[in-house]
Parts: sequence; structure tokens; C-alpha cells
Amino acid sequence: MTLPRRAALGAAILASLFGYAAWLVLHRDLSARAGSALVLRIAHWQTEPGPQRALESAMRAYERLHPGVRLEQIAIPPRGYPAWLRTQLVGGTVPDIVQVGHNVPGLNDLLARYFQPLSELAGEPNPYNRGTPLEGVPLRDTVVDGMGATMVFVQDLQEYYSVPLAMFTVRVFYNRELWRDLLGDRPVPATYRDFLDVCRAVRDHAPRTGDSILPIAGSRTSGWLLLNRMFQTQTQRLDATLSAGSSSAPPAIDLGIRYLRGEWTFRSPGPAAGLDLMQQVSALMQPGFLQLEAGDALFQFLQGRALMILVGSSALSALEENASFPIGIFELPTPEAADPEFGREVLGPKSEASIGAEFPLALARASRHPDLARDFLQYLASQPTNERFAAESGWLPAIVGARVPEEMKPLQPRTDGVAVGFDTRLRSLGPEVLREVLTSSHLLTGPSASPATLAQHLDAVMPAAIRRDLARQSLQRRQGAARLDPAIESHRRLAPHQPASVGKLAHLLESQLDQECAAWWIDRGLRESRQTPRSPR
Amino acid sequence: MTSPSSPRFRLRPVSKDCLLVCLAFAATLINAVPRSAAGSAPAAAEAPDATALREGWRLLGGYLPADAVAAFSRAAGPEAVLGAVLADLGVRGGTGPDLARSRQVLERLADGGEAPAVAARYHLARLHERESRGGEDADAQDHFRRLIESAPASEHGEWTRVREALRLVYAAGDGDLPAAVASAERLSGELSRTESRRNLHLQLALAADRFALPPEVAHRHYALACDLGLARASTRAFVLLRLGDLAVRLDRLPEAAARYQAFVHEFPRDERTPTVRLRLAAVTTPP
Repeated sequence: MTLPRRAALGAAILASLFGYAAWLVLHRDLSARAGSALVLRIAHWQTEPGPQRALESAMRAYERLHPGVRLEQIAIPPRGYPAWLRTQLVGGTVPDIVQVGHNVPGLNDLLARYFQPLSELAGEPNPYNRGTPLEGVPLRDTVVDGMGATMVFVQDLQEYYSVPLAMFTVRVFYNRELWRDLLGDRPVPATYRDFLDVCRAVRDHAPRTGDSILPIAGSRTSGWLLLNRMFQTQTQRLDATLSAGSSSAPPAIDLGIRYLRGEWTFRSPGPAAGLDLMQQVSALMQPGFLQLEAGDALFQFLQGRALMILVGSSALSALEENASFPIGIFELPTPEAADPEFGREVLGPKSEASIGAEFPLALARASRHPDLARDFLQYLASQPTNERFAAESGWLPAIVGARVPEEMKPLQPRTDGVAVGFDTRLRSLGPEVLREVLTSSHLLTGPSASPATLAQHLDAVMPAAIRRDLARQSLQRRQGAARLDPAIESHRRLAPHQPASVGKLAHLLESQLDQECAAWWIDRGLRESRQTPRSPR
Repeated sequence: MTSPSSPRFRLRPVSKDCLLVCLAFAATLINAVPRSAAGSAPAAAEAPDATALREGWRLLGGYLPADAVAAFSRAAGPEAVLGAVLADLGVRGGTGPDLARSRQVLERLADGGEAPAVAARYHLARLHERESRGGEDADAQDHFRRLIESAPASEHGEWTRVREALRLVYAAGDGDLPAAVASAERLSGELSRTESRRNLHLQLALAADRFALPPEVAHRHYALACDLGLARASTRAFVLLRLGDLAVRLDRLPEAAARYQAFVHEFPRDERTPTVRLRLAAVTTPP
């Protein structure tokens, strides 16, 4: 008799669990349909407390303005977000508004298929800016970068697909308590030499006290970020030489083609100095830092085992929330032109004026309330709301004129510098170059480290990697150009009837021919490199 | 034995989508191809439905190819077939068997001599190019040549001439480059559309930069493209900068100052603006 009773109990538990799960699923759907409430759902991958709180607060304020509307946010952890989003899109259950980003593979195809173009919205004044200096200004001109970021204005499709709300920079965050203990009243470093002195002082502290503190917590993410920032200071002069007096730096494909032609190598003065500098800086982080995850470095910093960490400004709220000590912020000091060791290749401090607006929110085609969703996006992107959002999230505002809270001022982008040179990834030429750089990192740190050997190694493996990446770039440009054919034919036929198609057609044709000519240029470069052996200078 | 209701025969949502698209596409072909291929005059009731056609093009222009296929299926005539083929390519992304089928339909349209024949030949050539994945394709070249010969002044004809002239510039060996550039330059005088001329000049200027031709060449073409009005703001920013930089090299300092000033005024938040301000100061300060 015991067994059937147990079985019955088990069955009852199972049934009640099933009932609860069913209720949870149905409840959302029924409550969305019941009554007059219009439910708008917003999905993103921001799991930090600051942005979630800021969005929650904006949602509640919008609900107060629009009785009968209910807003829900869904935060999906970043690692699972791409798969989750794809499933929701294909299944037709995608929330009305979703965050998009480069971490979602094949995003341009997904945008074209599952999201609504927002070009019309971008060209209209934002009604929620009434009474502000931005009243009557088209939405795109109210965003600091003119809505020009890649996830916002999609070049391949020549349409705006999202509205951005924030801006991010990269800064050094430091433990104020630890700083005082180790360095007293010493001010934050203004030059690269000051920065090195600070790091050396921290390192010297350990043998004296037996208290092992790292100058900088590094990981494969923050470590490479730091190393590349340094490398870029040393390629400014080479970039200027390669651009032959042009105000624009050579794009990735030109860097690759000119490398294959032997116009520069990793042993040229700039890149060689960059590798030296990278080795010098890598010694400031813990051994084996390139094997660590971003979370490991963050943990070391939060535990008070490292004085500083270099991360994106989006981490501010998470750091403040989790640290038991006050946090200070300063801009990473890099070698200036007067630096005795690394000044020769430097033209000036890095300008951050090109930093685009991020946290792009797109509108799903499957949205049941597209007009309401558009209105909410306008509300979020209004100057007053964006100002409040920035203050509560710890993220820099993306709307022109939105005030930045005093404590966030050190995060603001520097606009008075000059463009930096290329990094070791050659302006993200492609995965093959990146792979070669990453797999060569053992020559950068540790006992066998030697910048000269690294340069030699890179020059041995890069020609093949660059050729493969260039071939991929050529193919992508051809495919991108071919993808525009149906839209171009459509606007050709619509142009006599609707004036908007005339401008659209002009955009598409210019973009298509540009991509095709770039592909022909790459093909020529590849042909030449096969015919003429590379003669490194 | 597997019954039709077994899981093996259940359609997943994606498969249903594909099936619908196939049915709509087939309906369009059944509606239109036999009539147009036979060359019979369509009866009044069978006249192309202009509203459905426009809706189809609107949807296709808005990157909704699956919906466009359905819209084109409601219209009849060769234009609806052309629209359906292009929309179908958009849905499928162009894999082997689909391309072969689309090619056949476009061939019939291109040889049919009716209104969209020129457009059909253009897209037929593009399809051959797509299949060659970047290599030289004799069929594509043949269709482009026939298009240029048969309709040189049409929209597609002019655009093809511009493309071909630029392709030859990039394909030319170092010795043939001046002749290829000169030939492309001559073409500009033969083009009637602003769109074609503007893009030809813009791309010739970029090619002159890439091939390190004398600065006068790049400057001339950038200036012509700029005068004809550039479509994209990012292109205009780039062209203004290049005109300023090239004017400095050509020792035309007042022009350089004007170009840099225009850039700073129009693109105050561009990352290059601080550098351009310095260049502006340098060209406006007396030595």
C-alpha cells in the first residue's frame, strides 16, 4: 500500500508542478489579452542592475503617461541571447522591441526579414522632445553620431533598423581605498611614464609587505584591449604615410593589400615599436592573463587583489554594485609624442569622437503594436528620458545635449585628439588575421617572449592569413552587392510613382557600385600578390 | 510503414513558409509565363494588375521578398514574372537549383521582347555573375554585351556601361591602365542620367586614389561627383575631405580651405573634425 500512496503523491506533485507551469505560460498570454491593457515587451542582454533599473523606471514613467499600456522587459544572459533571439524570431514569438548586436550571427539577414525599417522614424522630429532645444529636429540628428553606427544604419540594406540609447568608452577603473593605502595622495597618472611608475610602485609593494597586489587585472578580453590600445599609438605615423596625406586612414582592405605588396611589415618601425610596447605593458598584468576570462579579472579586482582594471564604461554600474570600495576612473595614459622610448611614432592622443551610439533597440515585424512600440522608442530617445536613463544606468547618454552626471564625466569621450593607427587585427580585416595574432600571444608574454621573434613569426604567417581574409572580404562585398539587386529593381520601378524611391535608389546604387569596385580592387591586389613575390621593406 | 500523419511528414514552420512561397511562385508562372511566351494579346480581364505589381515592388523594396512573391502572384504579365523571380531569389538567397530555375525564367523573359526584357537580361547576367562567385563568367559578359548593344540608353544599359568601364579599369594591367581610365572618362559624355555620371566619376576618383594616379585626376572626378550631388552623407564627408587634401597637394589653398570649412560645418561630430580643423588653420594661416 505504501507504493501506490507514494506513487499518488508523486503524481500529485507532478500534476501540481505541471499546473503551475501551465498557469505561468497561460497567465502571460491571458493577461495580455484580458482587459484593455496593451502589452509591449522589450528584450535585451543587459543583466547588470543599472541598465535594468533605468529601463524599468522609463517603462513605469511611460505607463503613467499612457494609461492602459503595460511594458515588460526580458533580460536574457548574453551567452544565450543569439540562440534565444533566433528561436523567437523563427517561432513568431519575438518581443516587440529587441536589442540587436554583432554577437547575433547573420544579423543583416535577420534584420531584413524579421525587423521593421525605421528610416521614416529617423527622419521625423521626436514629439517627446517638445519644449527642449531638440524640438522639431529629426530623430537621427538628435543622436550624437547621427544614428550612423553599423547596427543602427545598416549599410548593406541602406535603412535605419534601430534606435540607440547609450555610448560607451574604455577607461581604467581603480580601487580608491587600495590606491590610498599603496600610493597615498599620488594623483592619477596623466602620462604613460606616470602610469608605469604607478604600476612599478604597486609591484614593489609586494616584496616589502608580502601583500601581493597586481597593478592591473588582465584577461583575454581586457588584456587584448589594453595591448591593442598601446599598439595603435605606434602605428599612427605609418597610417599617415600609407594614407599619403589623406585625412582618412586606410581602410582594412587597403592595409591588407599594401601589406601583401610589401609596403609595410610587422618589422617596420611603427609595428615593431608597437610590439615592444605591448610586451612592456603585458608585464604589468598577471602571468597567463591571456588564458583568463573577463569574469576572472573582474573577480580579482573586486576582491582587492588588483589595483586597476581596463574595461568598457558599461561595467560601471556592475562594478559599483559589487565592489566594497569606492571606485575611481581615469583615461588610459598612452605614450605621447614626447615619450623618450615610444614617442617617435606617435602623432597625438587618441580621439574618441568616432565612438558611435550603442544599445540599439530594433522593432520586430511580428510586433502586435508597432505604432506603440515606435512611440516608446521615441520616448526612450527623447532628451529628458535619455538624461534620466543615463543617470540611473551609469551609461553615457546618446542624445545630443543630455546632461552627463558629474561622477560620469571621466567616462565622456575625448574629442580633441587625433585618429589612432591600426591595431594588431588590422582594423578587423577578418578571422584569419585575428586567429594568427591570438595564437602568437605566447611570444608576447612569459619567459620566451620576444617582440622581435613575434614580428618575424607574424610576417611569416600573415601573408596567407591576409590573403584568405581578403578573399572573404571580396566575396562578402559581391554577395552584399547582389543582395541589393531586388531592392534596386523595385525602386527603379517605384521611382516614377513615389518620390521617396528616387533618393532610396540613389543610395542603393552608390552603395552597390562601391562594394563591387572594392571587390575588384581586392581581387586585383590578390592577383598581383600571387604574381609578384612580396618584398618586405 | 510510415503514415502521412507520422512525424516524418509533419511540416515545420519553415517548411510551411517555403511551401507557400513555392505555391505563390508557381501560381505566378502559371498565370503569366505561358501567355507571354505564346505572345498572345492579353484579354482585358487578364491585364496586369497595377496595384498588385506596385505592392509587390514596394514589399520587395522593403526587403520582404516572401510577401512580395505573394503580391506578384496576384498580378499577371511579364513584369509580375520578373518581380516574382527577383523576390524568389530574395527568399532563397540563391542556391544552385533555384538559380537554374530563375535563370530559365529570366531567359524566356529576356528573349520575349516585351517591356521588362532589358531588365530581365540585366538580372540574368547578374545571376551568371553570382554563380561564378567572383570569377570571370563568359555568359554574364555575353548578356551584358547584348544588353549594351540592344538598349545602350536604357537605365539598365547605362548602368551596365558604367559597371563595365570600371570593371575594365580594375582588370587592366599597369600598361593598359591609362587607356582603361581614358575610355571610362569618355563614357561620361555619353551618359544621359545624373545617377550614372555621378557614380562613374565617384568611382573613377576612388580608382585614381587607389592606383596613385596624378592628383589632378582624382580631384577632377571627385569635384564632378560632388557637383552632381552625392547620395550618402558618409560619401559626401569623405569626398569633401579628399577634395580638401587634393587641393592642398595641387597648391590650391583657397579651395582646400573652402572644402575643409564645408566639412567642419556639415560634420562637426565626425572623428576627423579635430584634424581637419588643424589642416584648415594651416591652409588659412599666411606663411
